[in-house]
Amino acid sequence: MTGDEPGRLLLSRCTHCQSLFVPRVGPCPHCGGVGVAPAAVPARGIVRAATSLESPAAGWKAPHRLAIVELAEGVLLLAVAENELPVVGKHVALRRDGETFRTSPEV
Amino acid sequence: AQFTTPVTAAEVNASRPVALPLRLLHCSAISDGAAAVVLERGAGAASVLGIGQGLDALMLVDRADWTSFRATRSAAQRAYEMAKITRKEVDFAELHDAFAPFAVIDLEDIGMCGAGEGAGWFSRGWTHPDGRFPVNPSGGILGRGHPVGASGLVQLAEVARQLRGEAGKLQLGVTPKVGLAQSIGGLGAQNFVTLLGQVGEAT
Repeated sequence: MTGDEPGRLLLSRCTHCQSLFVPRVGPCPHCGGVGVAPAAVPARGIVRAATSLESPAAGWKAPHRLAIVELAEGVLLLAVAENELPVVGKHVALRRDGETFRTSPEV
Repeated sequence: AQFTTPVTAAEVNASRPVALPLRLLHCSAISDGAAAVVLERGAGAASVLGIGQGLDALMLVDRADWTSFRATRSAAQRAYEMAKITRKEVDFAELHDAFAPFAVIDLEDIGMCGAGEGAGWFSRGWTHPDGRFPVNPSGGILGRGHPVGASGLVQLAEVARQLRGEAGKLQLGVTPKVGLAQSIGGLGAQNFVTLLGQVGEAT
């Protein structure tokens, strides 16, 4: 999915249970509903977990820093952090890069 | 076991980082290996008292808790219900410690202690072979190596050996009556708990 406006991320909202979730193949992860509408949310969140993979999967360079970031309505997403290991509890900005979410320190 | 040389905490903490805070010696070695279990009719010291499977979402972002495996908790509950016993009647366990923190989480998930208390059980030595609740007298997956598909069955085999008094130099001092085998599959999304013991003598 593309078409994020500046400072916003386009997520999905289930038209059945109204849950917000990260766009994915398949039905709503909460109720199984198949109706999905786009929903733009602020492209920022709070770091809930972070690690640095020193032996990452093929195609990624070490250190491969990953963070789980909490967005609006408690939605969690996995993001790549390029320059430094994000600190749990801190706010970060997010952007979409193809099918990857990337963090950057919030300014 | 593939790894039988004792390591110190300092050596673990000095081993190379894998996925911080996990370092190499926190992580099991993916190994070759095989296991088989032969089931037979009738009673024995290692009868299946109860077995349970639990499921969870595969992705961490879809899970309610990162310091507990819901799949183990539901598997354990089903196994205890089938066996009609409580955790207090379990003498020891082979827990799935593919990564060191798993053993701490597993101990809590099978109900031996409350959330956040597992590490204290290990640091106080309660999980040693002569402790109040021995965990992984076989050396566990960290010691044995991790032939991924076989590891779950090996847990059962190691519990059976203890119950039959056939564990050799690893035999627990008091031959246990009831043992618990746990396995984690699918990144913790598909876990099993099995209770083995003498039918009719579990209580």
